[in-house]
Amino acid sequence: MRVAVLEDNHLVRQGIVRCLQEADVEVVLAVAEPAALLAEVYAGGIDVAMVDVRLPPTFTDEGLRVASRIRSSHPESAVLILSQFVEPEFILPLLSESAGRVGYLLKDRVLDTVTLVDALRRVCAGELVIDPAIITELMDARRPAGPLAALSEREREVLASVAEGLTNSAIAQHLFISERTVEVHLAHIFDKLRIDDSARSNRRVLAVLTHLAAGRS
Amino acid sequence: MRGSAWWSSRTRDATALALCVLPVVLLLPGAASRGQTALLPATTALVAVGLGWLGELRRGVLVASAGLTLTAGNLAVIDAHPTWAQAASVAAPPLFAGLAAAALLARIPSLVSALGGLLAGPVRLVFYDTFRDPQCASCYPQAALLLPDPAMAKVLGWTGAALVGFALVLGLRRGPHRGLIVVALLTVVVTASSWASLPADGPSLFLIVPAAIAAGLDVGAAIIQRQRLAGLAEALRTGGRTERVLRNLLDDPDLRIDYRRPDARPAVFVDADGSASSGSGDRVVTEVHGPRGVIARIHTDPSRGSLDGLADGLSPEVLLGLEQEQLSAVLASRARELADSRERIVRRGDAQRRALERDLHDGAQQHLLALGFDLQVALASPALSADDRAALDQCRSEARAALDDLRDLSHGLYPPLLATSGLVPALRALARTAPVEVVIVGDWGPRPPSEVERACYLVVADLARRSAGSVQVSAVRAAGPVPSFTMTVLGSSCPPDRALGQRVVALGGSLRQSADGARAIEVVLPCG
Repeated sequence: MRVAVLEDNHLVRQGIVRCLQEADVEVVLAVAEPAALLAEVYAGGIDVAMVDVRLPPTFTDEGLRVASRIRSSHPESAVLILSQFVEPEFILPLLSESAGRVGYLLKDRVLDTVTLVDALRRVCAGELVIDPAIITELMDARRPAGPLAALSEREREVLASVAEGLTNSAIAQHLFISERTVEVHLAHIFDKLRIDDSARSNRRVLAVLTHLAAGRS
Repeated sequence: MRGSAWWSSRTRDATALALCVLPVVLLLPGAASRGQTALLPATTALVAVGLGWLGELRRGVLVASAGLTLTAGNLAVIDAHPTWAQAASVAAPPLFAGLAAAALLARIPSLVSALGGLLAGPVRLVFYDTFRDPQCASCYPQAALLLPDPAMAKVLGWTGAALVGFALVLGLRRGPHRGLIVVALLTVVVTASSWASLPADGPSLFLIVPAAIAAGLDVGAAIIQRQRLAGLAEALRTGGRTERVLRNLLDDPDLRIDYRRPDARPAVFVDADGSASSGSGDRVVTEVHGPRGVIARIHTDPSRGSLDGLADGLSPEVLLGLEQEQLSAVLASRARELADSRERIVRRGDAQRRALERDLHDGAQQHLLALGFDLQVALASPALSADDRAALDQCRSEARAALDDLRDLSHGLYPPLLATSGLVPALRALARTAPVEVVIVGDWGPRPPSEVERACYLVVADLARRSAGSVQVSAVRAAGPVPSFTMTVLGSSCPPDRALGQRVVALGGSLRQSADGARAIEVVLPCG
């Protein structure tokens, strides 16, 4: 797995590279400029590009645009977006235009080697990866009459796992239940929230995320 | 009021035309004798003096008096013997012709015209020998005879006439009295050409024509201005701003008045609505003076001529009215400054919050991250003791907790979504965490300016926090001369926050609750 890092802050860039190397991940490129990364992606030398959201010159969402370019022009390269923001709106447009191979992690997730390597492996395998903090933010039903009030505790755990991009078997492992039980839970959830579950796994993630982000049942 | 303008221009032109054409007619062969020729302009000049005095116009009096004196002098010296008087009578008229034409014109053409008069008059006389002029059968016995040279005299005469003509043409291109200038030009041409065929007393025409033009012109102008003044006082009595009244009176729709701010040094002028005056461009500026210096300036179309007579002759009531207008213009200007500074404060505050949020993101947060990465690498070392590992792990947890705190803090400073993605995504994010349901409906169009977005965001955030039930938010952008952004919050059970209202007002907008009990709160903000 060949990984490239696009991050404008020198200290953070070095830190990410060292953490990746510590976890035995091959880092082929670590740059501050999108142009250098894009050139390497186009040359076909990169499996996963880790991209910071805020980059020069405007420091708003250049990283998201770089990610979008990579996904549209070079679909076999995966993109893992690194951000300081717990904002689902940042990631939803990118998810809807990519069938997979996209992830969104908070930067401090790099400190958790297991999660980081797992995320890299999953986006490489074509899955969607969403930071659990985003899901928590989306599922944080502070309103008693919110859209998720109808779900049981277990069903909410399953829904959160789906939203993070986990497959049925991964959810089963994660929650120590059988895959069959997961499927039953999902059927109930989608029925209660009126979400169409016929879509493939990545589309299912998107449907769940969109539903959660819209904030209504 | 329009009637007086029509009357003025027609009368002025007709009077001057009559006065100009008359001497040309008298030039024709078989016309009256020389004595009668000189008598006619003398009479017209006399009339001009009288009318000029009536109109209280110094220039008209000056020109007409000079014409009268010179005509009388010319008549006197025809039979007189002193050679200096005869020489003067030949030298002075063309000089006067140039000067008189100058009275019609702007500064540069009038200088050219005066130079032409000088060449055709005194300088020409240096070379003019009446005895060597084959055309001069009845000329004066001696004029000057300094350097007798008929060819040079002729050249100078023609050059002078050409210069006066050139100056008049310049005056034709811009400035007032175009019709009169054409007549004066024709007269100069006829007079100059008469030197080739008529006795050399032709130069006296130079005296007659411009004097007549100037007198006619100024008499007309005097009458007009007297009427304007009378009309102004009357119009102001019936109400209305001086600017509008003057526009009607002078038939100049672009006429503008700006007022001096007495508290500003150097002088600053503001329009009636308090905005900074846009300057005068190529317009004629007439200052109106009051007891404490300049009150206002009147900007007029250059083709309407100067308003000096008007400005000097303003009655105390009109001046008082202008001073009152000055006062309200100054007040409006100060109010505008105040509003501007309030808007600047809000904008500056927003900008500083954004900068602070960015500084936190680029500074403290990145350093904490780098610290976390260092700890992570240190933790991977196999040589660590169990105690050291536990201590480092504790450090790493605290670094992450600090990062979470900083993230919350910077979000509170300026929601990053508001800066990057705009109002609607930011409101959606707000809706998810709000204690009541917030529904965002409709097409909001393109993003408004950032200060408008932040004000709207804060209003919704405040209402969502305090409202008892769900709220529905919609917005619409209106084009037009002042583009605006209107956001409506339906279903709010509480009135808008006062501090937020002040923020909206400072940005030039309004925040109010509908009076019809529909529980709607409306924010209107300009977004030019």
